[in-house]
Amino acid sequence: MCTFGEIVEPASRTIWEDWDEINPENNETLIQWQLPLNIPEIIGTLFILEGKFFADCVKVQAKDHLKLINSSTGSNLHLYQILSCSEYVCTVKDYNLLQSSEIIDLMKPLISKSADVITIQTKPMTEYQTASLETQPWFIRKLTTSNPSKISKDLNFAKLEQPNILSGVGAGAVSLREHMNMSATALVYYIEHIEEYQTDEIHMLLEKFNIVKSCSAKFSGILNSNLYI
Amino acid sequence: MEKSTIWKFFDEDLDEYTLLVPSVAVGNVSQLACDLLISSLNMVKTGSVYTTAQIPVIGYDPYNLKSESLSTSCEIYKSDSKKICILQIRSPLIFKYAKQFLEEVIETFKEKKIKDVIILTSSFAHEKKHILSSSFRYIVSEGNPYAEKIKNGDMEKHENNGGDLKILGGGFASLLYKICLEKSLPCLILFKYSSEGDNIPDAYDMVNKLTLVCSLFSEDKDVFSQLLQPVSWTLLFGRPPPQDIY
Repeated sequence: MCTFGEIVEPASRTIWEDWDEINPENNETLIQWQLPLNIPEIIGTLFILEGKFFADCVKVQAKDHLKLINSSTGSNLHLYQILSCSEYVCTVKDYNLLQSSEIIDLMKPLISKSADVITIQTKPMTEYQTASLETQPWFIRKLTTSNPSKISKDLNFAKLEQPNILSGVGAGAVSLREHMNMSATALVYYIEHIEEYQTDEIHMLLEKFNIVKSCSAKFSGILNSNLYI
Repeated sequence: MEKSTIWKFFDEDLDEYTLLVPSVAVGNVSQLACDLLISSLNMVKTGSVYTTAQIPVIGYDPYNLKSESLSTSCEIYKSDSKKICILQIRSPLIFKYAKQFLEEVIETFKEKKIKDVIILTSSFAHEKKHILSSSFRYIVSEGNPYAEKIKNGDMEKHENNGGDLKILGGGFASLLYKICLEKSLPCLILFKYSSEGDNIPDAYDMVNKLTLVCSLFSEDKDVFSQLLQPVSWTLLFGRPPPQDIY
């Protein structure tokens, strides 16, 4: 998307890191957990939620439901435990795409120990590539590993068709599990405005997974707006 | 922190194969050329790699829309009849981990007894100093089996004015070339001066040039007529306009 009259240079994925201008001394940012990571004996499903919406939604949950157990501030990564069961939730937002595989390395002990991994992320509708002329306000697409999940979560969504792809932390978790011959599912929510909080369908999905008990659509709107407008 | 590289091979036999590696570079020309080869030669996926050195990317099979098979950032395809294998790279390498990963790539394939490496890449069109010369350049290691063949194509040897080999905009190509030399593996770099935009014609040109050194298609017919675009290219320039605007 561009504004009227704006000249947008065509660019490919090479812009992610310019190899001709790299100064090796500036490449030493270390991503680490703030506290020592105690790997639980049993992890049922590990949910990896990507994006500001999910991170904010999980952050305001009651402490007796979701307990924050570790964080990595450099990558805006937070690890929560769902207290009523052996399931865990990781939220990650506003991270540098070039660090996604390092974030996965940090989470690898959890990803490899979990019985199942489900990643959820939102993407703007404009990024969805399809020849279909049909328009919908939102929809969900799914990607699964070759090894199917043994845990039933009732994920009856259409598969993400080529040429659509996913990249980043969620994609990394699914790719790692695929290479470990373990199950994982990536869900992607295509919506018109990813920062809008009037998306009841996402709340319903999070409630179904027992990640949230309630999630007010207006809970943090004030943080995103200018009070004086 | 532990750095991960996981290799998953479904078919180990790569004895006397030529390894083709596309470097993520200007316009993704080399990746598109490899896509064309995989699709046109009906190459079979024989492995995949997960590595910290790459930005993770996932999707379904880009060559078969009906497939339920997951496709990831780095995959290996091979053609038994042509004796070539391709390490298709679908996302950029991360600079600080690239050297270690590329060394591992060469060691792994050397153990599988590949005979040589061809690196495909591209460079910024504005870096081409002699405008009437061919858009293609090559760099060939000493004793390379393609050294004589490539001189007969409409290509020029890359002029490197001393010092380290540099291909501006060419991604990891020069680093991989250096590693191949260190590991005594014959290596050829083939690159095209290109600009970002519609790079499909560049990919076709690159495959055509590649056929001058590697016999990949029937010589009875025109190479271009034998190339088959992968199904994932259908929406390369976006979806149709929304109907709501009319």
